[in-house]
Amino acid sequence: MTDSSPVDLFGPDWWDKVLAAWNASGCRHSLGGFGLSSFRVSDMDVERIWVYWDAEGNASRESAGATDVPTFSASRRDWLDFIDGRFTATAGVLRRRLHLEGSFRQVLPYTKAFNNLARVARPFV
Amino acid sequence: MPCERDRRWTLSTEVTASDLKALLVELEGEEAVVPAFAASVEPAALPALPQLDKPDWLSGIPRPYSWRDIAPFSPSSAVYFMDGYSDARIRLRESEEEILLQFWDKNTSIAASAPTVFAAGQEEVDHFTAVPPPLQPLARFPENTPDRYKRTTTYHALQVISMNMKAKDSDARLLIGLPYAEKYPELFFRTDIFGIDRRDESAASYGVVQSLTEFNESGGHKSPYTNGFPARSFFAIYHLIETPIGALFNKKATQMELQPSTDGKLALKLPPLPFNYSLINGPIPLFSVDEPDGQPIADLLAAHHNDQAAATVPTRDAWPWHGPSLEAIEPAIASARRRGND
Repeated sequence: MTDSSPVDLFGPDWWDKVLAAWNASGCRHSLGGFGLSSFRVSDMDVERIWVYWDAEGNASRESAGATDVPTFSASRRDWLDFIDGRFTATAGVLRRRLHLEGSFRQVLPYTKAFNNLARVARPFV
Repeated sequence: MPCERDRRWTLSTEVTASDLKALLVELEGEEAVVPAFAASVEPAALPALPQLDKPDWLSGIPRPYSWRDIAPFSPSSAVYFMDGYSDARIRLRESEEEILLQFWDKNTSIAASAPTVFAAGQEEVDHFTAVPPPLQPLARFPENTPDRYKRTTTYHALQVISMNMKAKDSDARLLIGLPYAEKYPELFFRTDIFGIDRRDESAASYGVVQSLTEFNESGGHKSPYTNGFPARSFFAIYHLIETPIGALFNKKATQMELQPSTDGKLALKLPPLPFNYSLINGPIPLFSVDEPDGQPIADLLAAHHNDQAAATVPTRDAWPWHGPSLEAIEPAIASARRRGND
């Protein structure tokens, strides 16, 4: 069961719900040790979100963070398609539907884990 | 009346033997000597061509080939231009994901040497190929050439001059030859990393078109023109694949071999259009340009390169319209070679 109280899509409260679900999921270990990253929606007036993944893969939202961390951005439509499983994280970056600022080499071991994150976020859109 | 005579000598396909006989009588009088064919041959009664005895060696041509497929190679070195399509299926090692990349171009150019006869030990012999600098105008048997190509018969040595292929749905590009050397000279000209069984002096890509026949002249010897088409062909390719997830290159040459066309035949001409080359020695480890001496990060599992038509004019961003600035890349070339010598 997910909390059905309305929140702004991709806003801080929405992310808090998604990350809570992530931490309760069986696949949280797949992002273990990833560290800090950030997320943006290129065509919506929502703030940039920083998320920290610890060694166990538990996620917590940071109020702000460094700018030189892996940053994923996409349009609202492309984020929704990614969450809906219409393309994988790797295919998204490859086809320019997800834009990655930073080294793909750092992200490479975790690309499938981001697909897991999309699956966990699916009930919240 | 020679002028009239000339005017009346306008033969058409509708002239019959009786017309011709009447014409000759009119010109020469009743004394005219009428050739036998004019007296007896009507269009519908043309004799069939005589049936020649088929030489024994023609009887030995295996299906699907026939005597019509036997032809000599072009006698001189040459450059061929063609459009192309390539695809590459790549597996990322850490995530075990597979991605399919597709590329198109109107830019590919391939240089071929004059035909020569292969003899044992000739793998390392260089043959002139008309390629521009900074590529070396030479080609040799590719490293790790399959044994089936080491036969005493005629072959062209090939070198890829330029291939600059682009994806339609992303910024991915496939670079071979000049565009690879131009953009990544510090890598392309390294002398210490390309090749497995033989250390190649750069990432220049070589290939072979080799006759399938092994005829001898009547004296028992072979000249470069004794054998030719039909032919087999393969390339050993060093490629650079630029993608939004990083630039990848190979150290073990990617061997692409010509596959039979729909009629079951290999090359009957150059370029062997329509053609389809397929990967025969995968998987090919792919390394990151950012860490060329590190561990491979992906593998090329399958690849195809094919085309239906020859290119008439390469696009303006390709050779010969465009080539590297030698002055600009010379320091990088020198640096790469020094690195290999250290």
